[in-house]
Amino acid sequence: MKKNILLIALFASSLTACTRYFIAKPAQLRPIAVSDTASAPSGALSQQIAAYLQPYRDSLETNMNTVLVKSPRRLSKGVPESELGNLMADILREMGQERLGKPVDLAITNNGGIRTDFPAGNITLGNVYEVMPFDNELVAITLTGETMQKVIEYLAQRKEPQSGVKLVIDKATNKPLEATIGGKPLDLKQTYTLITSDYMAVSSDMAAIVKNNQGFQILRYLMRDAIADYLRRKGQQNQELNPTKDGRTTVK
Amino acid sequence: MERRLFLRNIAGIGGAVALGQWPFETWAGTNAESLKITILHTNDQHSRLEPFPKTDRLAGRGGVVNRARILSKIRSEEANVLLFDAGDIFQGTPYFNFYKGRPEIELMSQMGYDAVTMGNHDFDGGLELYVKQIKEYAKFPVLVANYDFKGTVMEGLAQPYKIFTVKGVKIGVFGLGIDPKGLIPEKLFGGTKYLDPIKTANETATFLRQEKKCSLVVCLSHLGYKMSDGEMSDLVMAPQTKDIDLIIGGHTHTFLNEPTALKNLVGKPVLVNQAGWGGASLGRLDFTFDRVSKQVFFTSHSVSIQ
Repeated sequence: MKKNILLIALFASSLTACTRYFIAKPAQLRPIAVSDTASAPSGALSQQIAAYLQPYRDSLETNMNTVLVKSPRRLSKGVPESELGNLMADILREMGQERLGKPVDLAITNNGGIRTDFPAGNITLGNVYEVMPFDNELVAITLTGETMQKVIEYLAQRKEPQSGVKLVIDKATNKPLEATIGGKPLDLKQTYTLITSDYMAVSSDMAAIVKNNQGFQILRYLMRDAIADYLRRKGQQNQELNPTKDGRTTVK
Repeated sequence: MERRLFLRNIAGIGGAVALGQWPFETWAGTNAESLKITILHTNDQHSRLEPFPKTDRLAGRGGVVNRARILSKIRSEEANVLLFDAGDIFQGTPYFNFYKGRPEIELMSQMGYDAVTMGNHDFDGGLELYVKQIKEYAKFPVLVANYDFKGTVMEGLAQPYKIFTVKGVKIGVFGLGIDPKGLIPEKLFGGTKYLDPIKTANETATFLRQEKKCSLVVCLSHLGYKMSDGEMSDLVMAPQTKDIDLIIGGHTHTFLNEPTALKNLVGKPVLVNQAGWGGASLGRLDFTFDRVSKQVFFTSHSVSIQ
């Protein structure tokens, strides 16, 4: 009963609140039909804007069609390892190492972030944008051996592209059977340097693991730029892309 | 129950709705019985100068050429048009990667933007780059009240607010930036200090309303429409304000068919609107200041850009 009275009181107060705001419309105030936007004609402003944009568009197109390097075959992603996945992780490790200025033990990216294949033949900057449309940045994370072990367990579970670990995964449990880093077994007392994307470091399921770190550095280097820089360099050195499935990640 | 009734009556689209009483003592610029002011707005343009590509959910929507056509049409129909943007102009297409924001800013100047606020991605190229492009190519002010830029390259460039006087009616507009924590790398945010948005909003809005006698107070906000876990957002802020009439939002890329109407601290309505992202939509609110009833009415539309 008490509740009902309260409801009625609320209702009444809301009514008075409404009458306070609601008064007769002024005559000239009518809804304006602007949803018919398709009929908005082109005019001086839109023509000026189109003319301004054109040279930017042309130049962008030229840039996008720039050939960076050639690939003898189509490169695709896959698990437990793939040509494209290995290439991406190797690029991350090599370019990240250059940017960081010290050796990197492991680079990890994610299959989900590789959006399409590299075609056979010419690989253009436009292809790089298609493979990596996201503005992910490289990050360098310093980890204890113990955390590194958890990262390797994560890798075994997810089979994400990686560069740096020779990893044998147990087919039944998806747990690592063997893992060597730089040819050596994991040393729990050592610290390791991991390069990955800011997405993987902050927003993926790996984030909870690497949150426990000894150092976290955003390299201000887009993955896409790292890929383009790497491919351009290969092209300038007259090399073709030739990534292999080298058995770095196997399932047994 | 109360809230539903309130919303239905206050925020009906198409129909004209009274927003409440406004100070009219400053309205001297015209003898007309009423004055209509049209506010148009975008947010989170993300360097999308071309329409969305075929592969996108928003295929064919947006594009600066289409926006310019529609702006011209509205300006040919309305005498008093203001155009605002709520931040994240930069980043999202190769245009930004190649031309570093110059065409975005120059095109907005050509389209006649009246003011913008800063989004987190506007820091992406570094504060120096943003300052360079704004200084060289912007014909509009950058409004941010809750970033203290003292000692940074932005010092003296960003203003907390601007008052637009339309035929004697003063429209006070101010900007709010988002908490940079976890969003903007410290290196890019630099020496910028983030100030409490609600406190800053109330101080600025009260100043605009009481001291400067603005008839309409508009907040350009990049806080986001609604965030998870009740984090700071337009919907969290609006009920804790007074003296703000309209919050033009961004950050969350929220498409709204009509503004959300909430009650502020003193029971007055405050509208929250947002226009999706990528220039796919243009928010439109038409305010009519009626001298006879001493009331302000609004109607709203979400204009699809295509």
